[in-house]
Amino acid sequence: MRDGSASASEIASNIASGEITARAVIDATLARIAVINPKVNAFTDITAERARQSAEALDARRARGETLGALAGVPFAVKNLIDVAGLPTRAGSKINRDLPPATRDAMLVRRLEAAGAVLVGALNMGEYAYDFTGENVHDGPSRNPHGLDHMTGGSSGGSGAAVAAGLVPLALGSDTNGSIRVPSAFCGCFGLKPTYGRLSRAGSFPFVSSLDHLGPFARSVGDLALAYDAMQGADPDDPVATKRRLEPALPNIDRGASNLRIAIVGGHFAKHGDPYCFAALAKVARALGVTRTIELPEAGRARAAAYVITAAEGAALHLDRLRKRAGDFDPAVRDRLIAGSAIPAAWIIKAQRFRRWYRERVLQLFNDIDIILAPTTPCRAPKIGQTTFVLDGVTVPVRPNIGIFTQPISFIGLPVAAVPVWIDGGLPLGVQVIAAPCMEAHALRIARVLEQSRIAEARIASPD
Amino acid sequence: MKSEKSAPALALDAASLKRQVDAAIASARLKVEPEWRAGIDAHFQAIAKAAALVMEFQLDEELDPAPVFSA
Repeated sequence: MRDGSASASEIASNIASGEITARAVIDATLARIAVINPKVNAFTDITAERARQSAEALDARRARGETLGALAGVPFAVKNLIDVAGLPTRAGSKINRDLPPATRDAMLVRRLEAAGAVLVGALNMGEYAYDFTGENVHDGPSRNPHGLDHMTGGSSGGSGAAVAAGLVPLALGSDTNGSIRVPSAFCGCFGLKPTYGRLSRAGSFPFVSSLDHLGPFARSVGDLALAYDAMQGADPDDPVATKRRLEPALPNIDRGASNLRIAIVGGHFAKHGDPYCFAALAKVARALGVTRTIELPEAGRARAAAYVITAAEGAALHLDRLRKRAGDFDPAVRDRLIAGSAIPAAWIIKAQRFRRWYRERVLQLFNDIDIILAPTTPCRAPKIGQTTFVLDGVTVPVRPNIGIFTQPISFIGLPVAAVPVWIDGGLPLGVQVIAAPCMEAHALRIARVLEQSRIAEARIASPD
Repeated sequence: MKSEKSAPALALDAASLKRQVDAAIASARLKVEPEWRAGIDAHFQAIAKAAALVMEFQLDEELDPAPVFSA
C-alpha cells in the first residue's frame, strides 16, 4: 500500500480480514502525503491526529469483533469548501480563513466516516470554486501529477491531484459547471457528478446554489460506486436534497452495456475542441460499438445561460465580502464577481426560464436513449499560467473555455461518470458518460465496461 | 411551446455596458480601484454577450423558471 495504488475496496477488505490494521494504512498514507504532496500541492490541511485516532478506534472495534463498514479504514480527503470540524472552511480564499473553525463535519464527511472511511485532510481548490484551472493565488496551484507544470483543472484541483498521485484512493469535490469532471479528465481519474440534489451539500461553502453538486473522485469505478452509495440519503439541511429512496449503484455496475442505448452527442460538442479530445471520444465510442449521433438542442445557448446564472448568483453570494474586502480576493475572481453584480434580474430569470425549456427538450431524448457520450474538456491539461489556447483554429481564453462541454450538462443536473482516456503517451483526456436524471447506475455501468476493457483507466502517477 | 428567434434584446456596445457597471458599483457601494476596471468591464462584456444569446431566444410566457429540480 506504500505506493498508493490500493483501491478503497481493497483497503477495506484487507482491514476487515485482519491482513493489515487501519492504523498501518493511515500511517502509510500520511507518510506518502509527506513525500509527494510538496510536489503536487494537493493538500492545504492534513488532519493527521484525527486520522490516527479514527484508525485506532476502527482497529479497536475490529478487535472487539464488531462488523466494520464498507469503507473501513479507507483514507479520504475533501475539497476545502467542505466543512471539517476544527478547520475554517476556506473555500480556496484568503478571506474565509478568518472564519471561526467549523463546529461540525459536512454531511457527506459524516456519511463516509459512518461507513468507516478516515479523513486525512482538506484539499486545494480555485478560489470560491469560480475556476476551471486548479490555480490559486493564495495557496499556489495544485499540480498535475502526470505533468507537474500542467494544470490539474478546477476548481477541485487538489481532489484530482490527490487521487491521481495515489495520496488517497477517494476524494470529494464539488461541480457547479464542471469542477469534478474537468480535474478528472486532466488528472486521469474517475469522477462522479451525480444528479442535482442527489447528494447533500449541507456543510459545504456554496458557489451557485442552483447549479452546485458534490461528488467523489476515485481510481476505479467500483470505488466511485462504493463512496456514492455510502453518501446517498435525504437531508433536511439541504433544501434541494432528494427525498428518493436509496438506490445503491454498486450492485448494478457489473450488468454490462448490452441493454443500454448509447449515442454520441454532436453539434456543439463536435466543435470547439482539439483533435485529441475527439480522438478520446472516438476510442470510447468504438469500444462500445456506438454509431448513433444525437444533438442536444441549443447546447451553446445552454452554456451561455449557465454562464449568466453563475456570474449572477456568485456575485450575489459574495457582495458583502466584495464591499468589505475586495482587495483580498484573487483578482481574477474578484473582477468576474463585480461584473456579475451588474447583471439585471431580467437576464437571470430568462436564463432560468430557458433552463426549463432546455431541460424538457433534453429529457425527451432519453425516451429512446440511455447514455450520451461527450468529450469532457476541449483539450488536455494546459500549462499552469497559460491564458489562451487554440480551439477550432481560433485563439480563445483558457479559463472560460475549459468547461465548454461540461456546462451544458450540469446546467440541467444530469448525472455524469467522467472517465479518463489515454490515447498516446501524452497527458490524459476525458469522456463524459451522461445518463438520465437519477440514473447514476447506468453511467457507472458504462464506465465499468470501459474500465474492464482498459479503454478508461486511472493511472497512478509518482511525480518526480 | 414554441421557440423562435427575435431581434437582439440588449445593447452590447461598450459604453452602454460600462454605464451599467457604473450603476451597479454605485448602488452596491463597492470600492473599485481604477486598475481593476478594465478587467471588470471585459468580464461584463462577456456576460452580456452570453446573455444576449439567452435574451434573443423566444419562450412562451407561461414557461416558468426552473431554478431547482427534484432528483
